[in-house]
Amino acid sequence: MMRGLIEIDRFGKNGVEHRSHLCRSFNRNFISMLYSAFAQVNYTLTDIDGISRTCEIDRDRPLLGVTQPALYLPFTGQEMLGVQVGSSDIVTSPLDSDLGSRIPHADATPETANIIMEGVRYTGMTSTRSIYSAYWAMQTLHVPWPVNVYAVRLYCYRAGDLSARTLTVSIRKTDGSWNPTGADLASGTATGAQLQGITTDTNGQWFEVTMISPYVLRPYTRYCIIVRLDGGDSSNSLRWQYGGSGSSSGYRLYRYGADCTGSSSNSGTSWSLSDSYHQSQYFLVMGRHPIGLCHYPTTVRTISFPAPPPDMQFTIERLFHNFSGSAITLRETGLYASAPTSASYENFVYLIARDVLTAPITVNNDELLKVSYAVQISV
Amino acid sequence: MTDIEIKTQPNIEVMKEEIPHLLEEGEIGAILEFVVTDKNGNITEKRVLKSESFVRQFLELLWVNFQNLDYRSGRYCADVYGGYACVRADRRLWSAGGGIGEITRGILVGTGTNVPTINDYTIQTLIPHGTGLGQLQYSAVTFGAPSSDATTSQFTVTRNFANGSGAQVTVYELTLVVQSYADSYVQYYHMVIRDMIPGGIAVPNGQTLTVNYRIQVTT
Repeated sequence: MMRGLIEIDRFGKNGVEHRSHLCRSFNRNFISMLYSAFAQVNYTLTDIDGISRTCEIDRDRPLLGVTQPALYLPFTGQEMLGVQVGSSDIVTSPLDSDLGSRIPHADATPETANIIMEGVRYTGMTSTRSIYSAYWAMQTLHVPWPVNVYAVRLYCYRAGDLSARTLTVSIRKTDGSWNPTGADLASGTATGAQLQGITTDTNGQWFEVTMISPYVLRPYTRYCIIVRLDGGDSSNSLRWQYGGSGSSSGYRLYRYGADCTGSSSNSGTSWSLSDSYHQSQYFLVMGRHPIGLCHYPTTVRTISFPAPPPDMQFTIERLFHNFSGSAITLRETGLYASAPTSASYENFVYLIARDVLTAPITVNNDELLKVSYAVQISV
Repeated sequence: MTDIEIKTQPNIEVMKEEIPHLLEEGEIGAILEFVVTDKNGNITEKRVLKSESFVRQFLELLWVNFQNLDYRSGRYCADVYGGYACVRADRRLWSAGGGIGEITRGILVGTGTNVPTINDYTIQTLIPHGTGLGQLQYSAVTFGAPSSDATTSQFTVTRNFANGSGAQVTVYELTLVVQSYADSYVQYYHMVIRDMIPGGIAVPNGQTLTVNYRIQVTT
């Protein structure tokens, strides 16, 4: 029989605090990946974004990678695999697809002012999308590291009179087909007086909209920026610039599955996407590094044969360092693993285990935490 | 010899049955269910018990898999012939889909009675495929898709063994064997579970033994 044991060591200024308890929660995703491998069949899983993905058995791209993906993990690093920690104590279920509230990677104290965290602007030929009334526009994006987004800048100009209008800029997740899905995760507005300050020069300018509440974007997840105006017409609209089409110099961020622009003529009910490699709306994500824990790489220790029981074990472990400047309380742990899909030559990330700690553990600033999963067999 | 045919497509509607709860909280394991049926499909014996014996190859393959190791950095792991293969995390790792009469992978049955140990790498005494004395006809291995209830998730590996030998065959050991690749074209077989059934499972002539290994995790 096999078991998992979770061991947590907190290295504080006053010594080491050690805890150990049974891992109770390898989940259905773990079983489903084993099933896919045993039966050599494709099988649908729910990834950490809640999106159904087909886990495909494909040559040289095995599933269940917890320290590294087989090939290509889009737009993220090793932090999004392996041992994870979170702050939620929501009861576990076999169908959990993500931690209740994952603590992001952060290797520094958050900045005190916004900086440019991500964005696209080409200097070549540009085009514009007219935004007014039911005509909305969107741009998908990834962040290469966790970003606490405070504001979004659009490269745009104003056509006509927007003095009675309100502009809304929001961020949502996208579904497996890159269409916006779900509610706004963050949003901000600009009033008519602010909008009238936007240049009418068709060369455009940056215009910043502050989010009502900051929101932490994470690597791996494909988000989108949605821009809409509560009225107007084609002559009285916001013109959001995009470009890069047909120019290899415009190749900005992404290989396979490049991000895309899109537009809607029915207030976001349906979207028309343009997934050219080289096109993007011009935007800047303004923000700060979030409060989080520095995720050192997950390592899998060699197999050992302790005095039974157990007869045999290996450990999967990760060190977390708190550089955030404040204490962080953990209530859950989990394991992320990758699995491939051949359709887009991408790997996706799945939660394969989640446990709620029997008691929370607080990691103070500059303290180190080690979380280990010991996977054991006893005959 | 009795005129009996193996079922190439075992009935996996069994997945609609209640998920057995024999594992302790937090265990990752297997439930072993075996059913003996006569030629009319009537059940003459059925038992459900906890499989006790994942062996070291299971953990070793999982170790390779978790790290996505290639053949240059994989782990030497015992195969069913007593040799060692440097196993890599290939997409074919864990393949257990043995075909009709295939005795290299999937669920295999035997007559060995040695108590399982962590270092077991092969079945002790294999019951061959066939209709001769002491033989059973191995069906293809089939799989029941994952399912879950409030606490337990599982999938099922199933194989039928039909006795057309003319005499009773008693099965004492059950194993689960999976495949690996050490490089692109060289395949190996590894036993990952071995269970010994004290007293054995009697399969009278003309009857069929169906073995379900339900791989489970509990929350």
